[in-house]
Amino acid sequence: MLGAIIALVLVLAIAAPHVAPLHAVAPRTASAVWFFALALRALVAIGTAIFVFVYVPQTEVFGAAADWCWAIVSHHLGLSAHPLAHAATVLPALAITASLLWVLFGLVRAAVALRVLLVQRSLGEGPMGSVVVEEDDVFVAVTGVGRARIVVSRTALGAMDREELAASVAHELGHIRRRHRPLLLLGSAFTGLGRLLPGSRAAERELRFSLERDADEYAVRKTRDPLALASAICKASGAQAPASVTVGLGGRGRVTLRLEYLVGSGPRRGAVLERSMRLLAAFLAAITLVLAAAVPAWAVANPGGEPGAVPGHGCPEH
Amino acid sequence: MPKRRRDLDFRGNLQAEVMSAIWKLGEGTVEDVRQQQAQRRRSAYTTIQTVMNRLVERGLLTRRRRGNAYVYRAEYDEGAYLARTIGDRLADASPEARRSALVNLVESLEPGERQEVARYARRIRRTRSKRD
Repeated sequence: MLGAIIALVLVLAIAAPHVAPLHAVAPRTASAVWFFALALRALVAIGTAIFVFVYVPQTEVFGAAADWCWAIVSHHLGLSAHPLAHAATVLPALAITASLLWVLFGLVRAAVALRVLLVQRSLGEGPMGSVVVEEDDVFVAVTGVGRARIVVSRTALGAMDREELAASVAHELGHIRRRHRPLLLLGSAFTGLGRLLPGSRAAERELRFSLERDADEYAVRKTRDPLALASAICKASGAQAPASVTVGLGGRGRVTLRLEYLVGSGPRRGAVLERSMRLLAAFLAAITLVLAAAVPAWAVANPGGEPGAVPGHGCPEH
Repeated sequence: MPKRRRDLDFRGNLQAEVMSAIWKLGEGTVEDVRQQQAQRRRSAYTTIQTVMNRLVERGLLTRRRRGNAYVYRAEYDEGAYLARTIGDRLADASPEARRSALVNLVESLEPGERQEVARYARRIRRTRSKRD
C-alpha cells in the first residue's frame, strides 16, 4: 500500500510540470521546476533499475514466470536458468548506464571538436570579450563545456547592428553569469539516465527554453533594449535553413514565444501563479532530495537476500 | 551526404599538415610537400606518399601524372573547407551533446515557425526604425 502511494506521488510529481502553465511564470521558477523534474526522472529510472535487479527476482510472480520461460528455453537450448535470470534483471541497469555513458562520451567528443574548431577558426577578439570565428551563419553562442567563451561569427558582426550585437552578447553572458552551463550539463546527464521514461526529452527542451528566457531577461536588464535582442534573434533564426515542406503553414514555437515576451505580448504573470509554481519547485526539490537519500539506503537494505537472486523454490537447474 | 561530410574531416596531424602544404603550394609532388616540412622532423617519402594517396581516395586531393611523378592538387580550397558551419562539424555528436557543448542564441525553428518569426521581424524592424 505504501509502495503504491509513493509510486502515485512520483507519477504525479513527474507529470505536474507538463500540465502546469510554466510559460506564464518567471523563467527562474520554470527552470527550477524543470531541473528538479529531470532530476526526479533520473532518480526514478535508477530506482526502477535497482527495483528490477534487487526486488523483482524475490517475488512469486517472477519465480513462476521464470520457471515457465526458462524451462522452455533451457529445454531447447540446453542453457542453465540462473545466468539467464541474472542477466534479465540487470538489463535495465545496463540500459541506463549505457545511455548515461553515451551522453557523457558525446559531450567529451563535442567539447574536443569545439576546442579544435575554435583554435582553427578564431579570427581574434570580438565585442565584450567574445571570440570572433570564421563562420557563414549569423551565429552567437557560448561554449557549454570547458572554459566559458562567447563565440560570435564574422557573418553576425556584419549582419547585426551595434545594439543587436550588444544584446546578443549580453544574452550569452547571462548564461555564464547565471550559471546555466552546469544546469544544462546536469540536465543532459539526467535526460540520459531517464531516457526510458516518456517525456524526458520534452522536459529537457523545456529546461533549455526556460534558461533561454532567463538569459533574455538578463540581457534586457543589462541593455534595456528588448527590441534589439528580439531583432538579433530574428536575424539568427533567419540565417538557418528553410524548414522544408512545412514552410508557409505558420506556427507558434519556442523562438516565437521568446519574441512575444520581448515585444511585450507574452503571457501575463500573476503573483498567485508565481507563488504556486515556486511551491511546486520546492516540492519537487524536496522529493528529489528525499529520493536521492532513500534510493541508496533502499538498495543496501535489500530485505529479501542476494541482489538479482532468483527464488530457488521453482527454478529448474541443469 | 553524411559520408561526404565525414570524408572532409582530417584524421591526423600529418593529413592536416599535407593539406596545409598543398593549399600553400597550389599543387605539388610528394617531394614538394616533404620540403615544406621542417628538416628535423621531415617524414619519410613513403609516409607522405601513403597519406597523400589516402587523401586522394577520400576525395580531398586529386592527382595527375607529370613525367614519372604524380602532381597533387586540393579538391577544395582552404576557404571552402573553413566555410563549413560549426554545426556541420559537430553533427556527429548526439543532439544533447551538441546542444550542451555550444549554447546558441537560437537553436532551431520548429516546423512552420519561420513565417511567424518573419512577421515578428518586420514588426520589430518597423518599431525600431520609428524609435530611431
